[in-house]
Amino acid sequence: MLLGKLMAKSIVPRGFKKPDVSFFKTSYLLISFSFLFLLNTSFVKAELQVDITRGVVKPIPLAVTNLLGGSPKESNLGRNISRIIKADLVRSGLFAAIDNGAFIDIEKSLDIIPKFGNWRILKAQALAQGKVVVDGSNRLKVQFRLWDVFAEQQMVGRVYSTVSGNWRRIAHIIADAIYKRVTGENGYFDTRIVYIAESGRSDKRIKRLAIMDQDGQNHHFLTDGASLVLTPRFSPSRQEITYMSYHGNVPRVYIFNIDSGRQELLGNFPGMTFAPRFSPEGNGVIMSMAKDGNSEIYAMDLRTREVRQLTKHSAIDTSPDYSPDGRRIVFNSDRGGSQQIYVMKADGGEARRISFGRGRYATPVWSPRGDLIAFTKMTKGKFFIGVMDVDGKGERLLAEGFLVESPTWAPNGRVIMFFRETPVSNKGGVVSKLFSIDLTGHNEREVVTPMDASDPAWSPLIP
Amino acid sequence: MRSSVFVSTFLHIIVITLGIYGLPAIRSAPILEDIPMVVEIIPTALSTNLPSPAKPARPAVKEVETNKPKNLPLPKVKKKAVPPPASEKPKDITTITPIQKPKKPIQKPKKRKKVKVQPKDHKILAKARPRQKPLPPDSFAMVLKNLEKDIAKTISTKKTIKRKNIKPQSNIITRLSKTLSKESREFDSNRQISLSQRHAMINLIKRTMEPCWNFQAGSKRAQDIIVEIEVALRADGHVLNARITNQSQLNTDPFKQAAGESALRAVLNPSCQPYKLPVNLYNEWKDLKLRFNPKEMLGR
Repeated sequence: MLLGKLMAKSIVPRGFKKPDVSFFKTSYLLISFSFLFLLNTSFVKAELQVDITRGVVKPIPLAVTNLLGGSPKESNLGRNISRIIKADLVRSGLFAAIDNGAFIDIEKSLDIIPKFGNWRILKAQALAQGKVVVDGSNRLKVQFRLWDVFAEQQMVGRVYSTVSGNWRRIAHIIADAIYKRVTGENGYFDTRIVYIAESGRSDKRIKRLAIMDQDGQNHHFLTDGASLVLTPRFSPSRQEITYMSYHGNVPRVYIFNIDSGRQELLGNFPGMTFAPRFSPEGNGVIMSMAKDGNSEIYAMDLRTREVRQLTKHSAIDTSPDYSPDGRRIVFNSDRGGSQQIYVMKADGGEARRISFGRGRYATPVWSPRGDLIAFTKMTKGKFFIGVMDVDGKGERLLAEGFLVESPTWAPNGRVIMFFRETPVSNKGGVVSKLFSIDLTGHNEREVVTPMDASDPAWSPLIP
Repeated sequence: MRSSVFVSTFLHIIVITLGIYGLPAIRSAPILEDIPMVVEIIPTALSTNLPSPAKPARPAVKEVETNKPKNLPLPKVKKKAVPPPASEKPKDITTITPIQKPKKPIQKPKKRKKVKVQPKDHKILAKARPRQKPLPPDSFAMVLKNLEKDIAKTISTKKTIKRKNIKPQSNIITRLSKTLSKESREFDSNRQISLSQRHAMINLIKRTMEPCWNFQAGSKRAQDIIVEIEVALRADGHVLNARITNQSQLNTDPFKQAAGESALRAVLNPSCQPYKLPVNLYNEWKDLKLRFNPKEMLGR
């Protein structure tokens, strides 16, 4: 303070008005604080802080023990459930299952804390254990616990109860729970795939609608093959499918309810109808229809059956799909001279081209997460399955082949399924199979079907 | 005139004082800026002439059996009303009940386990730091790009290693450890750490930790995730305990929570221990604050 006063007195020349003393007080305080701060930084020892800004992306080592059971039937079920959990998680590419033969000492009860040291030696980062009980009325109760081996903490513990015939679904649900707890994202194992099962000679091809679990099990046919069926699509909110069927060479769009088995004719549309897809709420469909040789996009409200035309252009507009928020539509069109991907508002209006790479683009499908669009690309005599950002940037090709087509997203938006046709003879014979690939492009796996398969559609998680 | 001289003198005094106390290097002996240069790939021919790295004194490694509680009482499982098992429909899964973790009956002092696991050759080999790029449009795409680069690099590096018998990342860590151990090995709590030693320690911890952090970079906002972990280390370089300090921020989102747990697993992973830090500087590194943020991995 004294210093402030001195400065105030000495600096002001005679005849001038005396300035505000508070300025000097502030300066004095600032200088003092700066001085103390510098002293502080000079003498106080700093804590050792390290920024880790890189990691690795590799499968997480996981141990899944056979689920315990009191009777041979329970033990057998426990082994099977464990096998399916492991298969699901390994197929995702994010987990590496440790071989059961390497296990040192398996806990004999689910209600004791595991000896984590035994699992650490095996480099297991997570441990899944469980127990199966089948009661007198043939109901199944499955308990499971997931442990963090390094932190020695339980990550998740649940009990599921169902009829014993549902044991396979229980396994998928447990795999989903593990996936979600470890990665923080929803799983996709408790889902189904509907696809077109193909058989017979190429000139008399029988195409039937078929459904199976995402791992290829629980396979059923939904149609008898009397009519040609095409382009099945799952409702994002219900266990319903839309598909096209040629009955007497007249294309019709149907809705099929999987739970009730009920089939409903959506409408008799004039001209050719292509690729109906549900709106995100499931109360509408969007499709393209060809009239007088020109294909346009139409939306239909399933409650009122009102049909609205969304595009009006001399070019061919087809393969429409809604964004997950229902505000935009992606479709392909040759209005720019070649087949490319366009985005427009859900109520129509001006369309913006988003694909600019070489070749032709088709079958755009919006990711359930909303961040990417999957597509089929044709260039240099080959077909590719790829993804791009919703603004068309960041195009990446994930799979290729003689013919790869019809990408469909897993409900968590990390895996894509598609079909691949491969020529097997010079006479034009081909085999058609389903494959899944994750967004890294490094984890492609065949989905085994009993016969040739095409046009897969992935269901949402089963409620 | 007199007042101007007074002000000038005063300001000179301030500047000189700030210079003396603000720039401690003026009054102390200059620190040798011997920042260790991290070399990615080192031919064996060059490294064979180096003296063997001095290992910090470590206590005898011993496998200690921990007393874990056994035969705990059964957890109480909530039983919900079960509908009749008439249908075989897939949606007939009736009960999904969380079960409680079995509780430890008595709080016993936890014996620390010492695992005879030496850090093995890390799968991800030495990587060059990517140059700073302009912000990419999509973080996940960047991860994938980086992953592709890493895979390509790993393959090419493996080939190079095979051809030239080159030692990878583990060798870099050994060299860093050696650099740190060059000076006196006597423990001295009052010892002042040099800037170069500090940098070498940070570098070594980073190099040790990064191959252990298995980060699933699938989220759209992965680059925003920050996990802060306080780690207490033993003098032998093993982790005594570790805890996430910003858990409340991570609990808001399952993805963030999973990222936090993956970072904690990286710290606790026995394969990544012990840290080869000089025991004479134990006071400096016995408490660490690690801050995990995948921005560089995502190209940010």
